[in-house]
Amino acid sequence: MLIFATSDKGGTGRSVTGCNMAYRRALQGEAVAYLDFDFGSPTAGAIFDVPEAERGVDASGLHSYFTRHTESQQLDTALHSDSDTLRDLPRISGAGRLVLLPGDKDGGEFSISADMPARCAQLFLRLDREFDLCVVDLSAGRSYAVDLVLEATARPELAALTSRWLVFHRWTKQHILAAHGLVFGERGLLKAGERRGHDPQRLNNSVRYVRTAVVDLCVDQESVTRPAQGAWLRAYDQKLREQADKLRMGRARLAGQIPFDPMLQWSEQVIDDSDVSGLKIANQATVQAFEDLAAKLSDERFWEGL
Amino acid sequence: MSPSTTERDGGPAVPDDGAQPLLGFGEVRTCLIQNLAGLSPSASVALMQLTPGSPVSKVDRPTRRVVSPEQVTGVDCRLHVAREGRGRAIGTVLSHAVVTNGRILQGTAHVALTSATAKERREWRHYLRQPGVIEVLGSPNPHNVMDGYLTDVSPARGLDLASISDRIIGEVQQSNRLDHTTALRTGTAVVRWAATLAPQPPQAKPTVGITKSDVPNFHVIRLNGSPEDLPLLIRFCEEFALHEWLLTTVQDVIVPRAETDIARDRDPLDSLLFALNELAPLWMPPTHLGPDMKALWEAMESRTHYSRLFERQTARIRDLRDQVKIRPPRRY
Ligand SMILES: Nc1ncnc2c1ncn2[C@@H]1O[C@H](COP(=O)(O)OP(=O)(O)O)[C@@H](O)[C@H]1O
Ligand SMILES: [Mg+2]
Repeated sequence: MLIFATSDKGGTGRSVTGCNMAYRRALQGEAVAYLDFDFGSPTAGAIFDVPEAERGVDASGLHSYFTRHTESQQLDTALHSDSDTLRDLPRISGAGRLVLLPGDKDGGEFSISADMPARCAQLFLRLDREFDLCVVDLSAGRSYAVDLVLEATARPELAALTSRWLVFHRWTKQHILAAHGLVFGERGLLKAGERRGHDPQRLNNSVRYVRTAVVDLCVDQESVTRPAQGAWLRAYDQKLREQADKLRMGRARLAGQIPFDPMLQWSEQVIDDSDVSGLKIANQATVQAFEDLAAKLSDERFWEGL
Repeated sequence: MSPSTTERDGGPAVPDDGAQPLLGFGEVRTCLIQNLAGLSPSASVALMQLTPGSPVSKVDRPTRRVVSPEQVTGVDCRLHVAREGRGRAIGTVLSHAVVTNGRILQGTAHVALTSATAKERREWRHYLRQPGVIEVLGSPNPHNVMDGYLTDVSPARGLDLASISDRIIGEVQQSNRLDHTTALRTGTAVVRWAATLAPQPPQAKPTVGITKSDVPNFHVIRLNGSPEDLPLLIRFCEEFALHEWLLTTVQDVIVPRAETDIARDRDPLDSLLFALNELAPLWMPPTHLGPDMKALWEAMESRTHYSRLFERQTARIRDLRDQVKIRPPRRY
């Protein structure tokens, strides 16, 4: 299965959430590949704490796979990460592998040349032979990376693969509107997909939304101390929900809602249960939200046509 | 490296000007064909028809083996030489694909290295006359050239047979003759080999040594033989690669997954049956291919005990299958 992670704006929490979601899938027993298609600012290496890919690798990253026709490195996080969480993954019975295909340090966006969509399809096919799940972290907005994968997934050799889209956005009026524009706008995903041979209806049916860093009024009781403040937040949350519903981004299309977590606010990383129960530096609700989001990826009832 | 592909067939050639090959290099990749069902004989042949008009070779027994025509790739690159010395490699690499029993795909790139016939690069016409031969400019020590090739990890710095064998796999797997459905999720295994080729006394047999590297799914083979042994050595490496892939897939993918599935109350039967019905029958050591092949295979077996290990794994799979049949997992 291919999961394309996208967002209209940068800094939404797409990569942090995507990496944690990938880690949960591996824990659940799947072989997972994480592809850093954010060619301009590859951050997955930093989130997985892989020193040699901190800002992308020196050579043979995904950027050079397309622009220089080199092979793409596959870094098994159990071997290449400094994070105990990821190094311990193989010791957990039944867990799958989590492999990073990093970006390049001196990457940058590039325009798509004629051979790239086929090369992209070839990469996805190869990974599908080996991995149960591929998470493709795309750069923000209507980037070349988005065009490239829309073009690749329209090719006949990828028709048998399951492709799904997750649109990440923060829980504010502006971010909801922006995410809506990214999908439904004049220059949005659906229109762009249609021009490349996708059926817009089907494409829309494969899109779901993830709300990131949402202040959770139950978890953050300490930070919401005054009754008036609580009442206002609840009312506003309700307003945002109504807005999302109207824009076809409501509950039925909600793949996950990740609570605001002070630890993640300061440190972009993969968290696990020991950060919750042992060190008590992350919130249980956050780990649970990643777990739920990971489970949703293969919940067929959830992805059925609406 | 600046590869340029022209398609022409022809086996590994003996270089002209009477130069003897000194070294043979190659790389074999092995993976499952991305198709839900096994391919029929005619579908296998059609898939291997990489060069229209050139013959596809096919053998039906003991396993069905279909081989594509050789593809020719021109190279002109610096060699990655271990320790000291430098060299430039100019000539052509041959590559072909193999389908076994309509299930397994292999991509092989191979080349014979000789000393250069001139002090400078000659016209391409000269190199094209000897497909599969690379001339080495400069005179690096052959041992250093061999070690340089075998130890060069990705990204390749010298003669990049890895990407040539990878490309042929990629092209075949992208073919519109396949339905692109993954029947079983497994990796691609890589075997990189190098052979010292020198005229041998009449009774001498080729020899082999195998090293497992730290890189997963990666094996290194060193061989010795006479220049005429090269086709046999190429075939030996393909057979080794196929059997090594079978063992790894059964031992490291199918058995552990089935055990986890059973522990987590999921149904492992599909992949167990796949192993028994589709993979186990492919275990067919190539000892029927003549005394030299037999000697090579037995030398390999005496160290690795692959056949015994494979037998043990298939027995384990039968146990697991019976266990599942007796106590079927809950179905949701
Ligand atoms: N659940 C969360 N709670 C608090 N902060 C978060 C959360 N998720 C992400 N962040 C913060 O948001 C910032 C952007 O996250 P990132 O994943 O890099 O965004 P993107 O990939 O969309 O550009 C990071 O600095 C991170 O610390
Ligand atoms: Mg990011």
